[in-house]
Amino acid sequence: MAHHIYTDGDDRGAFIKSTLIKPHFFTLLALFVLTIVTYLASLPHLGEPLADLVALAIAVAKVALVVGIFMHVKGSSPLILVTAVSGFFWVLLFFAYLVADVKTRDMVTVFPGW
Amino acid sequence: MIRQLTEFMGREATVAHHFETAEQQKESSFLGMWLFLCQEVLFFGGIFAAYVNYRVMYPEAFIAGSQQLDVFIGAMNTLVLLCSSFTMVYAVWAAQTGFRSKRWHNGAHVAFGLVGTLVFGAAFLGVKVVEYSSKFEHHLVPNLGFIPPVSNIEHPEATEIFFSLYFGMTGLHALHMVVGMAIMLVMLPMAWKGKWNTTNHNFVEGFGLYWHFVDIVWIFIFPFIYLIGNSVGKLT
Repeated sequence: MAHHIYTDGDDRGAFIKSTLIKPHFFTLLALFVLTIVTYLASLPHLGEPLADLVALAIAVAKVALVVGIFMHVKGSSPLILVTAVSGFFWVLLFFAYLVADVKTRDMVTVFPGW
Repeated sequence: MIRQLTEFMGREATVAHHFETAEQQKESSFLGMWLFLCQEVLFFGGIFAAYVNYRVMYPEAFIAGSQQLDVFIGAMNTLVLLCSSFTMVYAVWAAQTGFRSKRWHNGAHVAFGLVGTLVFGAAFLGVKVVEYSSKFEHHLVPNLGFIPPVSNIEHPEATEIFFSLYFGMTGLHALHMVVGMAIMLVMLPMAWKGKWNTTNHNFVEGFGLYWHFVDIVWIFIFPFIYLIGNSVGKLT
């Protein structure tokens, strides 16, 4: 990667340090590391539900990096932030209710006639 | 149709009459894209909900099904997709900053980012083709002579449900990639000609959001399809 960039249509004639791409590159490295971590964490046969919870936690961390850095939600306007976060929050709520439902079906006594 | 689409994609960075500033126009554009992605979250949420439901009903069958998949291939494909996200970021960054090197003009750098994304995307889909073909060889395709790969578990026949979801989830994900790659092919010559630059890059940035979303879907598919087989020892 070149150390400097030259801006088109910029009559200031200045060039800007290309450090802007660096956070994205480090984010990529972090995502690589987390992918390897999620694979390694799956090896010791943790059993259910611990294996799922560990995998889910790492997946959420990876998604936070992609949404925050790659998708530029970090530093964007509150309106975009609220829209992006609420999109994932609603689906989280949906899954919380879904898991609560399917995991407790055997516990509920269904009376005849209901 | 194609002409109208390309005109839309490369329209000049003028502020439309119903916006007060370019910033407001940009924010509206991204808000629309994010709302589209929110409904995509629900779209994939539906099939993940089916996954959760059947996984709770047939936990052993899902683990046995997952154990038939090659975790190494899944992990490599995850890395390939992450690389494609980075090259997409590069295309957006090049357009935003007007980056140009001594040899190549700014439009070329935007195009390089898109080409990188296309190459990594094609590599991902190529691996998927190899993976799918091995499922045909091992009779693991639902409704096409499916043979349960295990027998000493409760409901071995339910592994067919796992493979239905495997093909459904990875297939829909791959379809999103194919659509994205088709759009990128149209974008390439426009990028090379410098349509997107420091003053006009909303479309590339909006498209980047779509591509990263596809990456996010895979980030969830990888552990819940490929890695759950590792949660216990080998089932037979």
